[in-house]
Amino acid sequence: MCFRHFHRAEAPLLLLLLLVGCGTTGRKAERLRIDGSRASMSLPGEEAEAMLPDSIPGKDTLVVTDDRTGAQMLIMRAVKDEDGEMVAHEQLEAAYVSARFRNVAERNGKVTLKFCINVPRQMMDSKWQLRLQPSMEVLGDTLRLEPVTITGKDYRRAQLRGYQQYERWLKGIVSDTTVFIRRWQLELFLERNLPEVWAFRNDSSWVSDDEFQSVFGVSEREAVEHYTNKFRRGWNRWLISRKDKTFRRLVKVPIQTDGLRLDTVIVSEEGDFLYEYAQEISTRPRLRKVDVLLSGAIYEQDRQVYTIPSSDPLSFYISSLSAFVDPTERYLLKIIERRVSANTACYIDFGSGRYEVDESLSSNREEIGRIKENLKALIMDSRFDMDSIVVHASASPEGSISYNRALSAKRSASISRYFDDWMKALCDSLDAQSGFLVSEDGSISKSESHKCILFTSRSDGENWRMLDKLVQLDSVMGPACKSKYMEYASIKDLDRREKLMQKGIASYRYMREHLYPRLRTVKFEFHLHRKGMVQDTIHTTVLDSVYMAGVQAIRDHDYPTAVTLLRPYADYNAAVAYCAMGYDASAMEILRKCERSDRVLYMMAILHSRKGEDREAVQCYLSACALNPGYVHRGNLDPEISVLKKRYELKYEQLQ
Amino acid sequence: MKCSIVTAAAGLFLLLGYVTATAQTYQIGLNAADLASLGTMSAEAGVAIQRHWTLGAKARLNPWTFNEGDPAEQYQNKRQTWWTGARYWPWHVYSGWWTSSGLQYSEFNTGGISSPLTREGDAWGATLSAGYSLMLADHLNIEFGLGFWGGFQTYTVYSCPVCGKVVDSGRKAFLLPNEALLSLMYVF
Repeated sequence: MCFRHFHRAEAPLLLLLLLVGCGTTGRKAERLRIDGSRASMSLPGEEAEAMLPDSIPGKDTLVVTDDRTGAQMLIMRAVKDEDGEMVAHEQLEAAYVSARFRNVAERNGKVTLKFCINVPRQMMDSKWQLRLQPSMEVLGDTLRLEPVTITGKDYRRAQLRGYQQYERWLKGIVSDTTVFIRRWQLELFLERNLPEVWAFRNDSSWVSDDEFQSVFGVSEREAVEHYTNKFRRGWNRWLISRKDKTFRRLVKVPIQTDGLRLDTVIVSEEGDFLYEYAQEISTRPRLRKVDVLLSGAIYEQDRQVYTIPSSDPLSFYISSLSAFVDPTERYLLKIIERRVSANTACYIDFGSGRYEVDESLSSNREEIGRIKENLKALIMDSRFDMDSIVVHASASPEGSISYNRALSAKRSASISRYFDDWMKALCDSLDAQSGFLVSEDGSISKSESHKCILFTSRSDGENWRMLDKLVQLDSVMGPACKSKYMEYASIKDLDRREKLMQKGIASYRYMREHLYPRLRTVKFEFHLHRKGMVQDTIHTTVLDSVYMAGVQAIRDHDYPTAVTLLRPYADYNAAVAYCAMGYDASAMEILRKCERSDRVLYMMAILHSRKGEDREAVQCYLSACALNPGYVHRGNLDPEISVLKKRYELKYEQLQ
Repeated sequence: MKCSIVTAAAGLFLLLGYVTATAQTYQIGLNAADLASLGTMSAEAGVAIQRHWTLGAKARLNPWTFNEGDPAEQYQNKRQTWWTGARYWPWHVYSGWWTSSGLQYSEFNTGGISSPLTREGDAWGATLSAGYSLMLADHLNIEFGLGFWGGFQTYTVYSCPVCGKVVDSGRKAFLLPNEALLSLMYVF
């Protein structure tokens, strides 16, 4: 300041400026802006990075220009060496390097990232609120973590004051609207003019307005409305409508309670603020690295005063047990047979004593249609060729056995013929449809025609076996009838049996009407073979998809699924899945039986370490390192091994 | 004179009762404020004919003479007033605000109150009043009201309450305050 130009008139102005220029907080914010202060993050277990200004490394070498000659000279530090000569000596100052990355191990599909947030003293003030926003970058996505808020005492007090003012304002709102009714006058009015309503005043059952009206046509509702202080009610309603606006006006910055990691009120401003932040994240496949960044802002009242510049990112490298999975493929042996058979049954009704297929009779059309569909499906199936179809027809017991046998034979023959004709027609039409193939050289060839299929018919005669079963399972027949039936079932002569049943069993009529029709079944047996196969059986190997899915689940860190899928296999990969899920005993059981490769030994080291068997663990680990020196470094990534390394000071040289 | 007034009042009530046999609520009352004007006795009756209308009749009587005989001291506000008219109640009869208008006949002899000049005569006119009826109990109302009236009067002014000397006489139109109500009404 130039005191020469200090006029008296300017004095009050200057004073004013000084006062107005800033509350102390304004100056403080200005200072922060100049300094570019920032909050920093560091890894726990290390010294928190001090807010040192960048120190200029001390120079050992000076370049001096001679004023007179303009020549440049190099002046360097010199020491005497062993010969006594003065030799230039450069000394580099040790630079302070702090680790900005850390290895974390994933266990059970989750990783815990821990870091310390350090806020320097000059960024805190009782009138300010610091909002620190850590965020992490995961596979290209940036995710915001829960913010950390540091609130100054005065800031908090102002917030609370806002809430108190709002509470006071709320008290002006009446919640019980009956307050607005002039009860005294209303009750007198009702007593005089609506005596029926008055008589019911203690009865809370609902009555419509039309029922009770005064002599001069005034209903209760009208009376209530008249004796309500409408102005006060309207005013109250208006106040309620302004609740939100008033809240925003009085409580400028509401106190946040959730979505926050921490909201602490600082009482004294001595010392820096240190907060250890731990965040658990679930790992995804291919997730190897997570970067954590810190940004934030300082708020005074409701406006932002300073934006904290982003800090340097902190990197976490994620290592996982899924790296130990054995990705070799596994195959299953599959036996494919040439011959295949299928069967279906249907009920085709015939007229009494008749054996022609009559489509219009009862439900024949549906049944026949169904069989035709089945047949068509099998014919059109390109994997199989049909060899033969065997038709079995059976009859119900009424009538003589010989007659029934002949009849059922005729019936099954008739059915065979019927379907045979139909099949021939079908094959012809399919051939006509499939047309010709024209190959590249112009030659025309017809696609292979469908071979015609052999229909064989068999007759089963009277279907007593099925009747036995039906009677057993029947719910309508009484136990007496059933036992009678059982008695008769021992009779070998079927005709006599039938006659005795007709006379002896009370519910014979029921059996005749309900059970007998179900005995007249026609069974179709389809015999097929695989198209193009000559041998009777073929052995092939196929990829074991279940196993491979289990291996992929391990890679995707989906350990529960992996355990479920790999459990029956009980091999090395299953052991890896068990180990990742924490089923140490099961894992160890399997690994003991495995051949001791480097992987197996390392896994065993981890398992021993988890159980606390240090000696075995170190033994296995050393053997693993002997087989594969890469595990020397890997040991740092797994907490079970790194703890051993620290405890027993297994140095790099020892492991060579 | 008193006898005839009482008979007339009774006759009016009976007449009203006869005419309005179909209505439901009645009201009778007396005005306490009138008593302040040198002991005027008043009686009012009304009958509701509809939700917003009542018909009414009112009589006021002040037969008192104070310090009678003494020309210097005597003062009186003797009158008999007969009114009939209708009231309109915006909300409902016998509760809340009301306005009324009607016809009034008044015979008066007032003097000696502020000056010895005594005015005597009768007046005919139409009244306009408004007021509020507050329900106090199941059958009790208290009424507040103010009214004025205008019309014609024939008058004679004497020089003192007992003198015979006529100072002024004639007929003229007038517009005067009519009543101040603070009455208790019984509703049934």
